[in-house]
Amino acid sequence: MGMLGRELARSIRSSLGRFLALAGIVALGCGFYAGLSMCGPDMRRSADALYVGTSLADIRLVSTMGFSEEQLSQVCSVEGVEAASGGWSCDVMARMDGERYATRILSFDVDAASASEASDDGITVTSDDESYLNRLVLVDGRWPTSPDECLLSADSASEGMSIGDTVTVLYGTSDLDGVLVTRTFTVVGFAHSPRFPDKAALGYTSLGSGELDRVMFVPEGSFADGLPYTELFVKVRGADELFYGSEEYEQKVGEVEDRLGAISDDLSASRLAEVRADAQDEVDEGWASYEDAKAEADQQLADAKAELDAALARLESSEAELESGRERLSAGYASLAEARGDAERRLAAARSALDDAQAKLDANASQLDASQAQADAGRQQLAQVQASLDELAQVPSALVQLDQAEASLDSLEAQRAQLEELAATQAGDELAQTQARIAQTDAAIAQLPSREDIASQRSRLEGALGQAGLTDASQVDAYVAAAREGLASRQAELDAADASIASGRDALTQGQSELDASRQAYESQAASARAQLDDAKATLDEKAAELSSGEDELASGWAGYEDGLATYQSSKADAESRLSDAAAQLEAAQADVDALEAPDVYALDRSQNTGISSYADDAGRIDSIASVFPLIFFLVAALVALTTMTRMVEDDRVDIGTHKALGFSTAAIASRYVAYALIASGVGAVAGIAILSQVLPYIVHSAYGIMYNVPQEPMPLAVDMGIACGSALAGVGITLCATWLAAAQTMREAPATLMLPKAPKPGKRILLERVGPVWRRMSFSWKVTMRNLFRYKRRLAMTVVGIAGCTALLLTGLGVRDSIWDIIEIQYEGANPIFSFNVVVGLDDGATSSQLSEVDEVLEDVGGAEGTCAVELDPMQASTTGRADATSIQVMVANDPSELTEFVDMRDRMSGEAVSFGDDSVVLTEKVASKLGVGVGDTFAVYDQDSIGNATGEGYQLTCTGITENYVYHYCYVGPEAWRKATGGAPADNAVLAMTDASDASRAKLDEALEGVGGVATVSFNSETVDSYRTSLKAVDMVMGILVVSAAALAFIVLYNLTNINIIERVREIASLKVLGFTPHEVVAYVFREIVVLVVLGSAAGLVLGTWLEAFVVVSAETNPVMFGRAIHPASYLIAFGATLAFSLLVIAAMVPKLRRIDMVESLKSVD
Amino acid sequence: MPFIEFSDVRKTYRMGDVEVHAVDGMDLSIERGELCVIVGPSGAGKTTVLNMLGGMDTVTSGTITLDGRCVSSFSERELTSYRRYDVGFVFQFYNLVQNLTALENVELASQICRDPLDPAEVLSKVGLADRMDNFPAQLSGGEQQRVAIARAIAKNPKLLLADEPTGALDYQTGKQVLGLLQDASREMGKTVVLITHNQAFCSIADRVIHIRGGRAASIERNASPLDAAALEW
Repeated sequence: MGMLGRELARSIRSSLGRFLALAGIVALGCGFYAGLSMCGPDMRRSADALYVGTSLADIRLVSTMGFSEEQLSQVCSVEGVEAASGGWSCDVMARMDGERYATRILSFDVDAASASEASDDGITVTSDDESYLNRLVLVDGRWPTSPDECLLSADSASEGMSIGDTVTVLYGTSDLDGVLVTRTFTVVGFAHSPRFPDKAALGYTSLGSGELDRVMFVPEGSFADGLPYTELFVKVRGADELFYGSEEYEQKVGEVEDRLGAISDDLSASRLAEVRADAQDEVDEGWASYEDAKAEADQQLADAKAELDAALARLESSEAELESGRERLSAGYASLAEARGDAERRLAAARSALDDAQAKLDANASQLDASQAQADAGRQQLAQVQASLDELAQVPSALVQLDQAEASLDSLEAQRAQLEELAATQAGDELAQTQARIAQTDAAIAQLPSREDIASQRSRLEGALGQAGLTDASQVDAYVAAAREGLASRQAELDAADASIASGRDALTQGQSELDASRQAYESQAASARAQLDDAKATLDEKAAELSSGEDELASGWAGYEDGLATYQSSKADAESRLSDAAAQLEAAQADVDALEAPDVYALDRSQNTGISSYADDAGRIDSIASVFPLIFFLVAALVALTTMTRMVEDDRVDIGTHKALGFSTAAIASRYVAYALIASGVGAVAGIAILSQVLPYIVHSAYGIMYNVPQEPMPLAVDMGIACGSALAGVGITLCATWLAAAQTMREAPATLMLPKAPKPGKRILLERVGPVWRRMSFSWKVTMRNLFRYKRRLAMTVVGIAGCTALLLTGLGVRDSIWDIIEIQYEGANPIFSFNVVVGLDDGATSSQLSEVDEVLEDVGGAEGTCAVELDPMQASTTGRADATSIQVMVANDPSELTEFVDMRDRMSGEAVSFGDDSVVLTEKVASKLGVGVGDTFAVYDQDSIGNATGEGYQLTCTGITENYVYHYCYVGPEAWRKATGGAPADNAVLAMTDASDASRAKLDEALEGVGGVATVSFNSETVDSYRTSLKAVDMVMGILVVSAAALAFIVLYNLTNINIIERVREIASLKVLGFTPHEVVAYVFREIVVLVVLGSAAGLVLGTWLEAFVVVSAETNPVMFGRAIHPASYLIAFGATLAFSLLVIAAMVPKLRRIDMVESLKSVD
Repeated sequence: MPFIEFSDVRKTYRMGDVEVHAVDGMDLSIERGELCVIVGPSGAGKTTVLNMLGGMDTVTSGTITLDGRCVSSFSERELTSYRRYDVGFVFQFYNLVQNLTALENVELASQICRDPLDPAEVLSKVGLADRMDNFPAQLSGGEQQRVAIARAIAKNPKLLLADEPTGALDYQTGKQVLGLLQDASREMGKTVVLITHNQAFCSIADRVIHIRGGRAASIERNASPLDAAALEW
């Protein structure tokens, strides 16, 4: 063996390149497998160290009614519970740095925290207080000292905040008055909590977008006194010693969880009893105060009633008084009327006496007047008689005159008659004279009375005579004288009558004046009597006026009383209704108390923590990736080992033959190659595992460090010996197998054959030669290349697999990057994004349409949005199999489907065709549809969810009408008609989508403006989501580094090996070509063309493999609410291909000098 | 002026501390169209002479001229084109490209030359008209060597160099090969230089150069060389 050992050492020295290539590929294979396999465990170990170091609770208890000290001590006494503590938390919207965030406020024990000490690496927090759980690691600043100071979680979620800034709590999931003692907090520091290992996914809440944005830690004193614990934390005895995630741990914690589950009814009952007692106290107190209030009200009413009654009595007595006054008054009036009657009667009597006297006087006066009149008539008669006597005395002379006048008239008429006769005979002057004379005569006749007058005068005169009884005028004088004597006596009589009348008149005048005096006396008597009566009446009237004002007063008194009574009655009714309301409330409260159901108590282990489970999931994803990636390396290692060792064995043919001939056993000879392979692979395995089991976990952990707050353990990392040995055994085993395979073939040959040069592998016609036109067109070098490719199948396989692996690795890295990039580009920011909105304004339930339009206005005016879309957006749960295993989904119901499609581009991912969305449509996003197993036409149900996120209610049945491309979250878009059919109600808009100016400044401005609008509950910008994906891109970039380096290493080793073998094997051929006068350039082309072709083939295969591998990684790495982009970009294919080619050219460039160095003299050597 | 002339050519290899004078002051000349046999024991420097004459190796000192050109002062690039256009080489172990047929092996050489002969014709001339499409592995040693000679001739070189062309061949086949080389000289007027340790071949040569210890021990002209077919050894 000494000889063999020396030979071995020599052969290693002489073929160091080959040795190193073999060692290298084994190192890569083993190292990669071991390193990747250790990433997951390393991440888990780091997490375990953190959880143990910070005393993270193993179990968290929550209850729908909270907990009191009573339950805490109950929990403490459960077997296996090492420590337990209670804490408070609440979810609020808080304003930080001008924007609003859904924030969880958590209490922590300031005293314990202040006394604790954190290690520098942030993994361990030491505290004397065993019950101080979930210990915070203060990263910056100081611990809070007063209730209005707080810590923020120390990671990217707190961006923009610094020490001294203020956090303003706006509102919470419930009324905060009884929960927090202050609404403004000053940030005094930043801390890590083991409860939030994931920097971005902090958990879910019913506020805002449904995801927590930030976490804040406050002293216990910031929560109101007497508030029940919202959660209890339990540390399981002995769990720290067990690895988190191991079965032992699960079992240990599971046991305690079971025990807690067993007492959960007790906890629930005792909590119920407390809550019921408290509530009963409250109700009782309510009743007591109700009774007080009732008594008081009764008292007040009774007082009022008494007052009213008194008033009534007063009014009634006044009324009686008034009545008697009225009677008296009317009696007064009656006696006054009587007196007035008496007086009037007496006065009337006096008056009638006076009137009688007057009448007598008047009768006397009229007698006198009659006498007077008789006397006057007698005097007149006398005067008439006198006058007729005087006339009569004239008649004789008058008659004489008449006779004369008659005589003149006769003469004149006679004269005229003559003249007329004359005239009748005459003519001329004579006639004219005559006629003038006639005219004179006529004038004289006219001056005389007419005959008729004379006749009437005469008859009158003769009548007067007749009257006096005279027949002739001569009798007249006598007669007149006699008459005159009678007249004188008659005159005397008349004068005597006048005298008696005058004396009668005197007596009458006297009587009249006497009467006037008595009348005067009467008048004055009557006046005074009347004045007396009037006085009496005035007095009575005054009384009456008094009486009527009394009546008025009384009336207003009554009115007042009535008012008072009405007031009394209404306030009585009021008080009664109020009291009965209160009573009803109290009764309802009592009913509530009676109906109080035992709270649900949940014991949640760490796996129910979003961050902890997503970290564990990520570690698991690395495990699954670790189970696929290294396969490529192992495969390539096997192929490299096979080709290398085959070559080596063949090189040594003659040696082997010689050894055999010398009598060495086959095993002994083979052991040389096995030993060679063992050493090479052993060295490679140890080196690869040693290096990569540190480097890979380090890089992977660093990449995850971008997303998680789990500090890495100090270097060097623990090496999992199981994995390391397994990996090394696999690597070495594969190499040895390949070696044995290569050696066995040669060993079987007889020594004599071995001594002869091995016939070169014969040339063969290949399929391509049958394609005449193609083949004929090829140059000889190409023909050789093509034939060579198929001549050495192992090398073909090795190279194609190795290069394919290289390209696949690159493509996987680039593809994963594309996938995440696609989320940003396709979903939000690309040329034709799915979401054409960048802000969602959430409104309170029951926001009015005017608030909606105000939001629209602000979005358009301040945000610069062109159009908005109002929708009903509800976080719900979807399932096809009942609500037990429902999955979260955002249900977006549009009143106007065409409006929504302007903001959400619904399209099929593969074909790019639009998915129609109308009134009756129900469109699901791709990933949730496949998760639910729902296709177009299938039915599923959506459920309302409670505050913890459990599905409740009977659900609403929807029938899917389309499936649309989507990458972030799960959505179900529902048309108004479909929604009505499913729920029976119209969609109630509670969110507004808009595309606004996206710069930071205008976002802040918009946020501020929207805060002024009533009903606005949340404003969430897509950019927050986009940022988180940009962060994961960084992590992917780090992993890309590993992939690029390992891909390059793979390509280099494979190609180095291939070229090395190719050159060594064909030294003679190459030398011959040189001798034939091939230029160096032609020689290089002749040799490497083959390699380039293999690289291109391998790369092409790698693109296929990489596409598959990328799909595997993407699906493994996806988290529930996200779908990564499924398509690898053409550019990535080009880059992966180009980079592989570039690696290959590098290798070729490195190998060219070796080609140059080949001596032409080699061509002259014998074949041995 | 002779076609080929070596004047005081030396070639010294350095092996560790030891200097080996493979060729040590070689003077010789060969005329155009001659079949020249260089003969000598192993280690006499035959191959080194051939290498230097074929442009595969450089001289340490001295000059080699061929057809008036000083080959010994050629640069690497000039040497390559010298080999390409002026020299045809026949190897002891044929050195055919295994993955090319007989015809293709000939074409491989002829395609890089300025004025090649028709490969098929040349192959017919060496008696392989029927084996043109065979791969080397399908040919016997003599056939392979004939392909190699055809490959060298097809290049239409000024000088044909053969290094122990019969070394791996049996007697009859060897004679055929020698005949071909003699024909190349006699019929095609090529200058052929044949290196061998076999003294018997001297009788077919126009010129025989004996080498010993890195020097030309003797140079003889053979007035009446034998036909190769008549040669016996």
